[in-house]
Amino acid sequence: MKEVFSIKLFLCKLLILLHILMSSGQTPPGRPVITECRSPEKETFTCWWVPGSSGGLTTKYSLHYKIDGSQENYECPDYKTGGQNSCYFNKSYTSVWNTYTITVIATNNLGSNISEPLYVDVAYIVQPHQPENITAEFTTLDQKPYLMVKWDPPKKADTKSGWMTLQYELRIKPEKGLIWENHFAGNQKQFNIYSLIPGEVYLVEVHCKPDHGYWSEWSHTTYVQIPHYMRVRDTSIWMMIGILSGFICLLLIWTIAVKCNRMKKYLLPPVPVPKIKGFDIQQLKNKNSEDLILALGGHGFFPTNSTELLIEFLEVDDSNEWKIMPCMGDYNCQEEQRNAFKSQNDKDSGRGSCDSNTLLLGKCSENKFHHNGCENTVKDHGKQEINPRAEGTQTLSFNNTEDVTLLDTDTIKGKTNTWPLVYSAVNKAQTSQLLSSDNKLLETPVKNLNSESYLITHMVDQTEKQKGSGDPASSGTADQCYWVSTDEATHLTSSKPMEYVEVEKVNQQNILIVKPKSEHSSSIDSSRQEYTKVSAVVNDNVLVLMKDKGAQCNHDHRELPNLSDSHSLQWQDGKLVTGSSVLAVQVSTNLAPSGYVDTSAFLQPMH
Amino acid sequence: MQKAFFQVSTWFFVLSQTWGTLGYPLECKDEQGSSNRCISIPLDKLFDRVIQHVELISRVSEECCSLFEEMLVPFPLQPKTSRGVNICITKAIPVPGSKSEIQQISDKWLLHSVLMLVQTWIEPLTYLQETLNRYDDVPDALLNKTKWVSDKLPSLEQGIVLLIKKMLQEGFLMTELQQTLTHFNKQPEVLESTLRDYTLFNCFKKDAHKIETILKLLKCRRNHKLSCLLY
Repeated sequence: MKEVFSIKLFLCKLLILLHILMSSGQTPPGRPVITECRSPEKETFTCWWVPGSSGGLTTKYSLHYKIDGSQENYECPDYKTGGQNSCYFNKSYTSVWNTYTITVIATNNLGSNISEPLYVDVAYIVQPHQPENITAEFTTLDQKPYLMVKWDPPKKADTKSGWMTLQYELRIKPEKGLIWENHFAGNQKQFNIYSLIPGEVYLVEVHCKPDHGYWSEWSHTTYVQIPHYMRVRDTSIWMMIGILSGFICLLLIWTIAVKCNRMKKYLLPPVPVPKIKGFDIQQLKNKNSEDLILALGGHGFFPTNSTELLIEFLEVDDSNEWKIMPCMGDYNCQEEQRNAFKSQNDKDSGRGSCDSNTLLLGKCSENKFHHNGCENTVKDHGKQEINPRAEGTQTLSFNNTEDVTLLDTDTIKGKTNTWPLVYSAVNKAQTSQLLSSDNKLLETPVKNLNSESYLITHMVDQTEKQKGSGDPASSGTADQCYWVSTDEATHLTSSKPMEYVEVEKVNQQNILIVKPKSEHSSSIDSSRQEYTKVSAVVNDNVLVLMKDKGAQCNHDHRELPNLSDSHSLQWQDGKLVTGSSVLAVQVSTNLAPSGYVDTSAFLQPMH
Repeated sequence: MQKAFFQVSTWFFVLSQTWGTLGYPLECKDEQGSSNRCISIPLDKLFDRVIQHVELISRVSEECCSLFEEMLVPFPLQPKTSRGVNICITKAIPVPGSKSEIQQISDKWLLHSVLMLVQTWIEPLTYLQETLNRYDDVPDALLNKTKWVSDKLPSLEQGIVLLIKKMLQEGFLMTELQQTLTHFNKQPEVLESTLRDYTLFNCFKKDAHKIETILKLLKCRRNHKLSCLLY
């Protein structure tokens, strides 16, 4: 604050002087400013100042200094060595670790001016010269190329005796680069630089600094040319590329080798060949005659080795148009039926699988009842009895003779059905539902292939959906055949699995001995089909079923050869009733699509 | 390395205590002596270690000075005016200011001067360490560094004593040293405490640099007697 005030005062005085001496145009000199003092080697130093305004007169500048607070004023020993407006202190005038108080005084005729004092300690104003003799050499060590840069300290700096300790820093850049890359080298006088671009020209510069002081100027630029060498990075990149491409090639070759055929097909697609639907060329090739014939839609062959157990399947076609109607010997009736049957069977498609003998259960969307021939054929068999329907019940029975043959459907359709009898044995759970009021008994004549013949009793389960189902054929003569039909294919949607009553054998009386199949019977294999043999038809409405004693060994229940002991199914008012124990069993509404009745339920009490 | 150095120094100190002397280590019967209780460090390594120690102290003292100046920024005028009045406490210890003069002084004298310098500064630094706590807004770095320096000075003293012993084969130091020491006392004609502290920091910085330079010169002179004197 005081200084500022004094300066202001001085300026005021100056202005007054100027005012007075306006004509002269001369003023005392302006205030000089000491810019810097530097020592290159800590043994000498130089101070520079900048003069103020000269004031129009020749101005003389003088530098004065004091040492360490002593009041003695000394003047600069050398004004020339350092150049214009400088003061050079040689060795004898320099004492390190002493504080110099330096001032510059500008003097002219009119007055003088003094600069601000500058406090200098030589030890801390050292700025050395540049390093010298910089060499850059490209060498390789263990196949690692690098640039070795060497330099010498500035000549005047005494680093050998330890008077000064210098630290170095170098910088490098490619010739066309913009940014310098700095490396601190410490006290050492050489440095190694790695990671160089081959073929480039580099610029190298070095500068130094004492432990307490200023950095020197950068040295002269040294140019160095890097020869072309293979960098490890380049080598490794090429190696990786090679390995990767080799791998890809291997992969391609392997893919082609594995997918040879597919490739061929893709590139050279096969010529289309006519194909018959349902006809498998491979089967032909396999030369499996049975399968072949099956594929062709024919019927399989029966196993002929078993005489005891002859399973014949009768396909029953359940369609809406079938109705039980009595054919009272009416020719028209027959024809109608035949026509209906024909029309039914005239359908072309979708029948293949259903026509097969092996089929059943839920496969068919429609139940087909192949109605075999009628009265005539029945008649032919002679011993067959077809009891006229009694009130509410209807029974069917066949007497089995060796000559009895199954009804031949040829008369109707020309198709021979020689199928095993299939009984659908209703589950116990279904027992109650087995019979409904609308049940109808379908009589399907069977064709005898062997000496035995079997009767297929087929209960058609009619649900309540049925409408207008025809009544079972009324009783008629033995010559009558009964057609059972349902108006609707209700069992189409039956989801319950069918069970079979397996026909075990035919006894001497040509009675079908049927063995029920029941889920609850532990001894019965669920996969086996069970057949119940019809032993007799009694009372026009009782179907006597027999069990074969010899057929299935696992069964606990054995057939009773006696008629009286056998089960009998009675048709009473639309119900199939067991004879031995009057057990009104409801025919299950869930009749299997094929129309076979599951008689396992009936036979349960016998177990 | 410093740790090993200090271990050796401590060992010597302990040894000296057993002898009941002034505390300076006595001769160690090394190599030839049967009871080889001492571990002798080669002189060159000892020099290097001492010099590195001093270098470190010098660097830290410089940092302390700059930190202190930054702290005194609100009072800009004082440091400027005080620079002209640099009365260091170690004024009494004459150390020549030019290289040529120093090179003309004998090793013995140089070493003793250095030792005196170090011993003189132990007490003031402890004082500085305490006074810094009176300031407001003292940076922790300044406190830590000051404490560190005051802790390291005694070990430096021991190192220099070792050097003297090794170089000059003096087992016992003269008591005249004690007389030339100017005891530090809080000068009454002073200066504000701030100024005084600032002066202390500056003077210590200078003296540390002096010690460093002298030791380096001594080392060179020891190793390459001829080349060091060329300049």
